[in-house]
Amino acid sequence: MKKHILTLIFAALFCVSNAYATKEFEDLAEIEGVDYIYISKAMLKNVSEVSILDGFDLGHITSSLSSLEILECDLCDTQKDLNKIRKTITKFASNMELLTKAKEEGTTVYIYSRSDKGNMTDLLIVEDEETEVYVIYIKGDIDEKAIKGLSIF
Amino acid sequence: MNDIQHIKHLLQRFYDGTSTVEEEQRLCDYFCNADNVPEELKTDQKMFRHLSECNAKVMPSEDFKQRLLSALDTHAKRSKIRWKRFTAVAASVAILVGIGITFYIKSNRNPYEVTDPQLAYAITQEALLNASEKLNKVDRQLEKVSLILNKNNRKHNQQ
Repeated sequence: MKKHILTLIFAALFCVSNAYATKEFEDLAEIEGVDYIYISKAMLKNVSEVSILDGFDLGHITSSLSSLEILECDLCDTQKDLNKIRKTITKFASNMELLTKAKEEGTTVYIYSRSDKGNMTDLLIVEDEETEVYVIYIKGDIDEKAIKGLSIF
Repeated sequence: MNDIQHIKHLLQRFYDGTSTVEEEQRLCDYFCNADNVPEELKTDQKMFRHLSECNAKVMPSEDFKQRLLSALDTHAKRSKIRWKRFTAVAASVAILVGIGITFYIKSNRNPYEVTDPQLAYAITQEALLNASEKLNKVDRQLEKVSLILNKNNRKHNQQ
């Protein structure tokens, strides 16, 4: 019984911790010129319903996601702010696996991921230009193949 | 040797530490049962009576076993009740904490959270398409690298 209670408490705390937006991104959102968007699990479920009506079905991807966050900085005032964003994101990604780093036409794209038992649980895509930084952070049960399939059609 | 002299002899052996268990039992019997002990042996009698009392086996009463079992049973019942109480309290605390956290989260909603489903859909679609393009681009680049590596390997093998 004791074990069950502890499991329930930890499960509740885990769910709660998963419900939060990424603290690092929220802090960066305070910087002037930074746009930050957080889409919760509940909203992602709604997205799958809306997408069916729209004809572009995203439900098979979004229904298993916990959150989606976008951080964009294209109007940052100073290089100092940009560096702060870069530093924070690099630190945040330090416990993730760097899948790839590609540079093309002045833009460096970093793709980080975290997996649990062979399933991708975190996907972080960072587009870093000289004066802009664009970040997509997806959490949950991520179907990489399904995401890749979106832009093939 | 009369009885008193024999007792004195046994006492001497007792104090010398050479007496046997039987001799000590004989001394004990004598001092515990005799009424007219000579004055010089009164102190020894006191000591032997005291030793006899100390060594006396305490026999439990007849219903001792039953009382013991009953006491153990009561203790087991009490600890069961205590455990049930603990479980109930822990469960209540867990539920209250859960409710509290839920209310806390609801009242402290993320100010950056998108609450319009249409907008959320548009943003998600754009973000996922962007992610998809990036992932596919990486795949294409990896294919290119793989082709170059294969070409180089073939050249190396031909040489």
